[in-house]
Amino acid sequence: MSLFWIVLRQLAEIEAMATSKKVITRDEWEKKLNDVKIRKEDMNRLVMNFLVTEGYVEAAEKFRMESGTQPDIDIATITERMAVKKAVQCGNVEDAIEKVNDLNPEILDTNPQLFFHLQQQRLIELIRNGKVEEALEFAQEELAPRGEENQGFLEELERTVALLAFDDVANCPIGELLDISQRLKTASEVNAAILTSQSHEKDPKLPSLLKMLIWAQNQLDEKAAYPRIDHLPTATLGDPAV
Amino acid sequence: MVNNHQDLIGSYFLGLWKQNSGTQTPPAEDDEEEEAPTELNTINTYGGFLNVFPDKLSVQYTSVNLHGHDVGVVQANRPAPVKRLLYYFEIYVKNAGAKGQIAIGFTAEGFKMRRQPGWEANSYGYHGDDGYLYRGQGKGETFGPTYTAGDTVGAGINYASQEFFFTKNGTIVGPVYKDVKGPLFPTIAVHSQNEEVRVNFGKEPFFFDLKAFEAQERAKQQMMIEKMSLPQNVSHGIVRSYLLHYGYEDTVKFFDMASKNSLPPISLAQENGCSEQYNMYALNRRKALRELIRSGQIDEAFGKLCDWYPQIIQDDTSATCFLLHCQKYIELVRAGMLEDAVAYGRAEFGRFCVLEEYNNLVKDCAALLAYEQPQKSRVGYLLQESQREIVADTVNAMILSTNPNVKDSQDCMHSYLEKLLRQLTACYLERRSLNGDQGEAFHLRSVLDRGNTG
Repeated sequence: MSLFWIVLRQLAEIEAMATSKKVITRDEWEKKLNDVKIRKEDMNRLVMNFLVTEGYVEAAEKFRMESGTQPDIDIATITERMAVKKAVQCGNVEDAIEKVNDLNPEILDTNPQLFFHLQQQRLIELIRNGKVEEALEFAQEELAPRGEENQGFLEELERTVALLAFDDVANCPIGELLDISQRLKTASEVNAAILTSQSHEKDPKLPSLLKMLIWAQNQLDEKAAYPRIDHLPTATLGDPAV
Repeated sequence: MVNNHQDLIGSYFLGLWKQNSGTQTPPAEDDEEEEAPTELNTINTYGGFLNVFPDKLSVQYTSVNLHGHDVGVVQANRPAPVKRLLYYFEIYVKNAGAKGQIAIGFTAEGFKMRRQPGWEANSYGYHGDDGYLYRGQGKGETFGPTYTAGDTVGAGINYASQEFFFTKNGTIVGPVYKDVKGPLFPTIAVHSQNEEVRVNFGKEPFFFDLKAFEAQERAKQQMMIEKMSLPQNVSHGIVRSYLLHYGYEDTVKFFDMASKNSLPPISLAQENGCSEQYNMYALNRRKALRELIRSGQIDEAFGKLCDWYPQIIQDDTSATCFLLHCQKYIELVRAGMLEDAVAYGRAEFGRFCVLEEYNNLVKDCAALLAYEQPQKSRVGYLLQESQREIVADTVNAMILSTNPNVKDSQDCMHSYLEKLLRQLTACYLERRSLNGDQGEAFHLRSVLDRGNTG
């Protein structure tokens, strides 16, 4: 072993002693890692769960064929859900609302906030396309009544309508409403609501597990010096922290 | 160089096979094997002061309370199990007797059985007469309500937060920090004439909604975890390298197409330049081989390997050859061609029998012939998809190892996803071990099974 690594190890131990942390060498840690057995089929399930929840319909179908893993929800329902998401992302909100109601009329009924956001998006699209009169009519007939029921909705409504007051919409303080990110936000909300209505978790499990890893390492840092994985995409093992 | 890789890879996958053949539940799930208290311990109690009923779940104080050293204390028959999030038990006060000096709590082994829990070091007690918490000194501290006849009082340990908590008639009292290490016995005590208490170690439903409390504690932890931030698209990248690693070529193709068209478009991380290349190495051939093995066409698989990677099957006693030959044999059994299977076995198994590591596995294969319905037997696992999967994964790893750019065999055997999951599991286990082995471990299967209910 080179002198450099010896010194590094000693520094780690000194640091650990100062804070009474247990030092685990790379060899020891790798042995512990090798004792962990992860089943291939469990990993396949995790990947399938990701593909299905994020809406990669064709990839999920191919994965089913190539790996023999069963998706945890019916793939057909993914196609419908993705159609709704796409419609919102392209600004075809009316179409999206129709599709959601075809899928399950209860979704919008039981989700006033979602419904309001969809209507708000419709308003934004009308304004974007310069249809001022239509926009005003829509705002007053469809959105104002919702605003009366809910203070938060009212504020959002006022904010959206204010877009009409500006000439240079892109640079006005509420210009972000016209940004594509607003469409994506709404699309995400609809996606989550549909998944929930199908009794499926709206988020894939993989990101949670990655967060758990970060958290678990932070927790263990308090008591031990050991090789961490700091670069998730390549899962490279570092050396015990000095 | 290639041989070193091959040996390592070979023995790794043989190890997986052995594991697959063993107990049904993976060894890490030994958490369920921890035994919990079921009844009261009648051996170490002072018979002179109390009477434990025959069911070992009720006690009655039979003496007259004269001083502080004639307490009727009973511990459970086992210490509280630790490899879980919570432990909990309850008592029901049937009769508060003359002075209602009942106590519930936890004591260490070797506790002085004539003193109230909490009056001696390494014990905690919640006393009914004054509602105080005693934790090792004679003087207690104000803690909660008093309790008496008709009340149901519970005591629990929260291993995640290292705290004790108590309940009275379903409401939480506490919690209080637990600074006692080592095994703790659920303990109850009675100290005045005619006091009578019944204990419940879980055989009957608890008064307190333990499940809701547990869910609440998990949710608290979950909230902290959710606060962690992830680099953008990291999950996407990990899924992609998983698909590439195992050779799921078609899936990757459609995954990439969809990713390009998604909003916002997901671009492949350029920093992983070299590792992406290694992952894409021989992608089409690996996919082809996996397909052949998964459909049981072992002869064809051998053919392709002969054409493309003869070095992998050069050594006829290598683990790869062993796995492939066994799989061919298994496929013959599956097809009901038992005579052919026997002939094949005779031709091929001979040279493997001499090698220690193959011995038991060969025996398992041979055992298939003993049953009319082998899939229901102990060796039925050989007929399952998981066995084909092991063979396919072995060949996949072997092909990856032929890449001249490969430095570490580990990269051929484990995808990044697997490495991350191992790290996660190891961190939890280490943390638990440093915590006196208390608390939960991480189980991927539980996470997958959880939360798919309506």
